[in-house]
Amino acid sequence: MHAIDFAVVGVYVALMLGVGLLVSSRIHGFRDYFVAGGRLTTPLLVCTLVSTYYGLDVLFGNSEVSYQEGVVGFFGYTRPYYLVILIAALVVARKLRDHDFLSLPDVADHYYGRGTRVVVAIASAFYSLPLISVMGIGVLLDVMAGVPFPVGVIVGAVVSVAYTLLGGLLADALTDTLQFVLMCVTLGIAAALTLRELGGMSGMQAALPATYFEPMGTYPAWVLVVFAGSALSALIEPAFYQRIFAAVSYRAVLAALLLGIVLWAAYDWVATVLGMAAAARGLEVEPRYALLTVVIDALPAGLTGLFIAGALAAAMSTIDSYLLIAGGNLAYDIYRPLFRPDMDDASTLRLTRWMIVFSAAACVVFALFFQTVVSAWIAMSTVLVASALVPLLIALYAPWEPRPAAGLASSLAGLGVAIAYYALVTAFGADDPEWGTRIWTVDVGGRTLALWQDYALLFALPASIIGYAVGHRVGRPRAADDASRIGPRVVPAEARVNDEEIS
Amino acid sequence: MNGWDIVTWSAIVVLVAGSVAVFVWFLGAARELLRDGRDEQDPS
Repeated sequence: MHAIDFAVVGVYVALMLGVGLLVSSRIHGFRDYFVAGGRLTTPLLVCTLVSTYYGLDVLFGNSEVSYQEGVVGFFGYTRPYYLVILIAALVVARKLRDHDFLSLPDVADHYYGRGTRVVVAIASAFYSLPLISVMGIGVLLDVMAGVPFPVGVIVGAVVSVAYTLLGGLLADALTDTLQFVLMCVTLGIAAALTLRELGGMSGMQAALPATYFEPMGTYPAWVLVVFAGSALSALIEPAFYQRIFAAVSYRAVLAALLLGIVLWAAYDWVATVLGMAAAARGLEVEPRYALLTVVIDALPAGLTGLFIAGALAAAMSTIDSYLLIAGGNLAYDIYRPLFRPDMDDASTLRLTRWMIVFSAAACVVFALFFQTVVSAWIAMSTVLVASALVPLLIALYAPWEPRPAAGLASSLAGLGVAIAYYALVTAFGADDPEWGTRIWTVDVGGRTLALWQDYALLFALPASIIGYAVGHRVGRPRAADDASRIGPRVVPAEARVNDEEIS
Repeated sequence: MNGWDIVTWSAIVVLVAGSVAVFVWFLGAARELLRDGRDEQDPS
């Protein structure tokens, strides 16, 4: 990197922090901080959804897969998400706007009560720990400045805490926009320059094995099933829910998600191609470093700094959003209902900020545990999907009255089996350098089974379904006059008009 | 130019042009949003 690149990065980060500071003066309470007072319009939602949901995790995770395996990074790893997000936009989002929810555990509480709320909040908090983006900053600082990965991870966490405490969702959404356009434009330019140098996709086809162009690659079939299963997390994505509650109308959410799918698909494909380009150029790097290495090689001075600034801001923005959710889950969704139901708004806001600091510390621990970005992402998705997907979808769409015991048994069984599976593979498995994961080999009836760490969802999701069935059978419906239920939302006039226009 | 090239160049165009278009759209909306915020704080 040249001096001009470092200058660009410095100016950009200062600008982001400045915007955060400016907007943070508009925060007057927990609702302002957590859902921006429900004022996000379509373009803001597009920018914040696209950039928050697609941080460095997707960029590095996708290119990590495509560097090793080719186009399966797009077709097997990311494509299932578009279908799930489409379902979420058309079906789930509208239903959710009928109530005055602030968070995913609010939804669980409404249908099943406090017990399920707490379990879902624990899963949501773990899922929301932005450890992949913290890992991403570690990777960035390593490639950029030769900072050792663990040190970079800690620096990333400290910087992000400082940034997150400055502003709430509105500051986050505003800063998201600049990094969104920078990230997309510089990634597009880097891809164009790299493709020209390699002779286009035809040149890459000549340099790479034919398996790189097979849509399903050479992954074991169960891994592809797990990839598709982890996409189900989009149906219960806490950041996605938070933005639905923060939107001015359902129409704004729908338009943002439909536009987002187009941009996400373009972004994923370009990231996939850049991962493959690193392989085509014969770069020998850690898979998660592939995209960054090839981009830095391709871009001229100045633009490299701009790309790094965009990537850094993408990470900071994702960290900001998810630390906010994790802190909110711990303070608003767990501590307040369990220990201080009468906690006032200012205290909730203060405790949320402390929990953000705690969540950042937890991030560092987890970021140093996982070997690859994809493994970390699968683990987080597994915990959330296993504990929240079944009870919430059934509550939203099943014709019968939800029973608290069903929600609690389902979420506990899913979470418990996911944790137990990871503990067993960690204890009895061995690291596999070829696939970059941990595998536990067991003999069952003369057959050898290779249980990947990433297969946890295959056991945890059925456990959640069984837990629900058992709980529904033995439990009783919740009292209709339960005072703790969250009631219908008070919809602002403008939102009501907009929501009605499209129904 | 084969099919992979067409898909890839299309994705690059969508990514660059689409993100710039959304950003321009956002600039107008952000002005409105910040003005609303000021109005809320200062009703006079």
